[in-house]
Amino acid sequence: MRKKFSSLLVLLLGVGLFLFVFLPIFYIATMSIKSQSYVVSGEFSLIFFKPSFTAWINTFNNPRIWTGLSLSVRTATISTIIAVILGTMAAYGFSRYKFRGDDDFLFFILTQRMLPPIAIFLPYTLVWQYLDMIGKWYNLLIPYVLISLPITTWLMHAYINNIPIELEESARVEGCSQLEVIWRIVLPNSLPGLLMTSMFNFALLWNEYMFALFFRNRTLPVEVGAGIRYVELTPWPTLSAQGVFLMVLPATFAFYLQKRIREQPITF
Amino acid sequence: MAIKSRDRLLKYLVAPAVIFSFVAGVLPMLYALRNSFYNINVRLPMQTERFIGITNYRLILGDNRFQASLRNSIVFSLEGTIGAVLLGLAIALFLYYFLRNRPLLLTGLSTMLLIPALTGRISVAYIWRLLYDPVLGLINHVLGLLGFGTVEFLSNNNIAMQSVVFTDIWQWSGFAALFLYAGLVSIPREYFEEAQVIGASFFQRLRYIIIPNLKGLLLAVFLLKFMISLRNFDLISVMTGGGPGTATETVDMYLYWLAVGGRGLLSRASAGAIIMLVITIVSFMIIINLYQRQKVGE
Repeated sequence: MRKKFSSLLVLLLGVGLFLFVFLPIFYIATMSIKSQSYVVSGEFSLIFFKPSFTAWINTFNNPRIWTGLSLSVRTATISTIIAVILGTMAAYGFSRYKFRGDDDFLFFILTQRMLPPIAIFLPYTLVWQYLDMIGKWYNLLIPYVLISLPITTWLMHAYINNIPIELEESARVEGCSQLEVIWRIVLPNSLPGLLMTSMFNFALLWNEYMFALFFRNRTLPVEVGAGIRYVELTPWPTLSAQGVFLMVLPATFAFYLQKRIREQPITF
Repeated sequence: MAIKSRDRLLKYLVAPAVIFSFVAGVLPMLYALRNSFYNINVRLPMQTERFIGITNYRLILGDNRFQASLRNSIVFSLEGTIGAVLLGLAIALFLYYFLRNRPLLLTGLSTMLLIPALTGRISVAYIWRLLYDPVLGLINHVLGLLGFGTVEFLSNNNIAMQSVVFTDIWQWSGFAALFLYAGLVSIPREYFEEAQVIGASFFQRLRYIIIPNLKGLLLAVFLLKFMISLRNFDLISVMTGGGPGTATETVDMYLYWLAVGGRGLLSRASAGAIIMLVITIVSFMIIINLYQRQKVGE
């Protein structure tokens, strides 16, 4: 009896937890396939309504969404690649090389993530103005690499520390040069970590809003976020469709990332 | 930690990241520090720059709206971080105790739990603005069915901030849970078996096994979430725009408005940013100090 009761409680908690995360997302997804007239009519149904794809057709016919998408893909991809290359090199060096103050240098890179964004924005805006770079798409690359480098270095450092150094030593004994060791041993072994780090960075930069807005780059989040400025009668179905459109790509990383995160504790 | 070698090549691997962080991170901070002692106004580009000492600091510290925004930033970051870590711990314990041996359910629920963290703040802001909506919102609809009146979650001065914080906790607690779950799994099983033998209660296990073994990870997750909380402009500006009035306005939003949106007082905003920077560094030092002390104690 008591056992039955407790397994019922577990079931309830599990379902509750699932709904806690699922319902909000489900609600915006259904909102995106309601028609504006249904929404303003005051009727309310979570599931039973006549679907209308007007909001999605509006979204796909909106040229700003596509220019935003292309800009977002470009900036997020390039910055991720640069940050992952720089960060992985540094992480490997910190993990395997001993020099005076190596922990301090590692910590120094991590501190860059603690800078309040406004403290980065204010000096940059003067420099970009001076160089006439406000509104140019590439003005995002430096701030983006700056905010993703700390996480990259930290995650890769934790990951590379777990690769046994004996593998590298035996390769050295067999006559591989340091570069060959990196190419043949370290890179293949850190591939899952690299994939995880790249996904995290891409998601972070894909969703970045503040710098894109401030430096006048209309990336996808900026285009989507601009929709909220309607004063009266917010077109919720259209906004919902855009909101869902924005979240689809990074959400596809969830399955892979949850497995990686659960695999081993990541500390500093 | 691995035995470190002294190969020269490895030193050059570290250099680019360190140099980049210095040039792109530290130099701009120094530039902001310098600017905070001048009278730069982006609305008056022809005005000659003049050194005005600590005037900007005096003005910004005496600014009521800046004080309020600073308070809001601290409330948002602290409440959101503590909330997400505690709820994350509760979820992690649930996953550990009941789903550890059910890989399919565990994978499914973990994937679901991670989606909000990967979702952009703009989408999250839309999701919750919609849920909180007095007319269309699911929450007010349910409250209505239960016989309660409409609650203006985002336009009531007293609860707007808490509504935004709750959204933040919703977004990050699953993320924290997965990190902490990894820590729970790595606690040696024998500890729990021993606890079973002596008949320790759940709270005794929490107090004497789980918390002590998870301390380092808890602080790491706390630090990570705190850093995420500092970037709150996107969430709050789309959810409330800093309103009602300035009830949810954070430092980022006010200083941006001061420097670019409003009167162009870039130097005064820089002084505010430097103050924020100092507060951030000091609070991180405290957390990291705690972290290292417990590491030594291990």
